[in-house]
Amino acid sequence: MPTHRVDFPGMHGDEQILLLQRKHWSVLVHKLVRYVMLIVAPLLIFGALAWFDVGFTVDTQNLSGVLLILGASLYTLLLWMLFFHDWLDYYLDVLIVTNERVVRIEQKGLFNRTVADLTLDRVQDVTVETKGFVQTFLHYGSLHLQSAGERERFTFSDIPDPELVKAEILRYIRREGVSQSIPPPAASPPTPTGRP
Amino acid sequence: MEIPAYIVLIVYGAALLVIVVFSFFNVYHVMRFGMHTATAYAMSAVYVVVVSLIVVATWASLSSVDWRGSFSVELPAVTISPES
Repeated sequence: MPTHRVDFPGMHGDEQILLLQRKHWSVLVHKLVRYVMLIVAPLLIFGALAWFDVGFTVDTQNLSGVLLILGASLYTLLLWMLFFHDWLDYYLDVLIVTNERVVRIEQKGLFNRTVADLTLDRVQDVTVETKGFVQTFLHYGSLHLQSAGERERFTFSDIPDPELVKAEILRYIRREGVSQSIPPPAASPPTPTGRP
Repeated sequence: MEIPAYIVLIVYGAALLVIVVFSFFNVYHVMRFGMHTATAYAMSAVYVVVVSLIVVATWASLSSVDWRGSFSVELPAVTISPES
């Protein structure tokens, strides 16, 4: 099973990352569309003004011209900062499967970060949920891990190819026999020698 | 009415300072929690470069302004007269 050459906070010394999954790209695109519209809208306005020969000059010797330039600068900086913040929020949401546990890291704005983990030996059930046309068409959905005890399900939403992630987790659990609830694959019966 | 030009610059500087502080926290989060990937470093570099370009472009656009001078602001004249 391939391992990743990255580490994450709280990673044990001998722990190996088997799978590292971020949310589907459509989650990021959905956030970025509004920034594109906010950038394109002023450009369209200026383009329309130029189309109808409504020209104007920015005179930096007047207060209005200076305010226009400074306002445009702050507007662009703010949009760029918010865009980066949304990308950060997307990039830092990670599902990590190691040889010991499943770790879910969720960044919820600045200074609000949740790290939850579930050891593989406590995994009782792995469920995949794909809702709606978009998720079905783009092959992404939610992964639910049910643990032993009364804890609520361990969920990671909007991951690409959740069926493959489920298969990888179950394959490892069964091969290593780490979970009592998910038995290892039955030993194959001995092949007959053909002798009567 | 005359407004000192540096007042406008101070207001812009204050807003820019807020943006810089938030930007610092954003880049800090990437560096600390971004798992040291090439994408994390690249995006942080791109972000800093674009911010720098915007600030430099703004400064270049306003390089001809005499910030030690003042801007004149003409308030519209409003006359209120009772109806006879």
